Amino acid sequence: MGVQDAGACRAAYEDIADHADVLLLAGDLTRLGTVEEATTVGEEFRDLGLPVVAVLGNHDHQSDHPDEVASVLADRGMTVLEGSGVVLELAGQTLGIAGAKGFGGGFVGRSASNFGEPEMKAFVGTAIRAADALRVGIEGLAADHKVALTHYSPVADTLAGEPPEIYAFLGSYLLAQVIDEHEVDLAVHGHAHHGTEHGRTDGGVPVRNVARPVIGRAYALYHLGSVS
Amino acid sequence: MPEHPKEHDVAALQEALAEDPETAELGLEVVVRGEDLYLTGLVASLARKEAVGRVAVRHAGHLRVHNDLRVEDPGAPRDAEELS
Repeated sequence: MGVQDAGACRAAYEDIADHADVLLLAGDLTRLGTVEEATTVGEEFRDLGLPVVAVLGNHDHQSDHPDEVASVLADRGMTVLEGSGVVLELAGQTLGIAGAKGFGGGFVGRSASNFGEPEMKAFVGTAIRAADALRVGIEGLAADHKVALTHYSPVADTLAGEPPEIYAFLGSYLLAQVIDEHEVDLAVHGHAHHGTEHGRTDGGVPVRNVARPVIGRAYALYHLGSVS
Repeated sequence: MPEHPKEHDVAALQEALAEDPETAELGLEVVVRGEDLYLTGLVASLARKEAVGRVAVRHAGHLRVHNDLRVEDPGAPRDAEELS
């Protein structure tokens, strides 16, 4: 959202607490990652009657103030995760959500290698650290159900529709490795606006691309146990 | 003189749409056919569509801009997916 988009989304979320127990936001909450835009987003999603848990996306880093963006959102009631997790008691069960923005790097057999110029090693190093952040978030969770929330995709499945040449900029198999190492019930991501909603990791974990152009509506509803 | 490659026009505009703070839009499709430039894809609002159109006109030079972008429908879902 930009500052000029204030009020544009709210109507679609006014009754969400009647249908869901928690709202997950998979990043790109702002257009340019400014404090002003974060304020607009925070106001748009506050006081919805259910917990709102988010990760930042690449747009939220554009102005180089991700910590300030996260702080503004947190001040308005949003839980912003980065290498961390939260356990919520919902509908008689516990839901653990681990979150990290993630990064690109590509998928098995079509990924960058940690070799060569400093710039290439920096790119791959960022992908490795991003996956490690998700690992840290997941390892701390003890809950009936676990969800991994990222901006970048852990699988190529949910990128179908994007040009294959840019898959390496849309996600990383390293995220899926972390997800498959732990008992995760669902992985949710954004970022790939031309992708597809449904996918699965090699370990069989359902993956859902919830970028708004993909799901074609303000949000998607997923039932895990008794939790929505 | 060789004709100016259309791919360069497309790339330049896509970069402008991503980097211009008025738009910050990544992944929109830009197609040049003859003297016409077509914008397609999905944006979040009518205001965004108009902003993309303005940036495109600034960078399109002699090309005629056709703004065929669609605006998302931000409605609530009608059903839920059971995962367990």
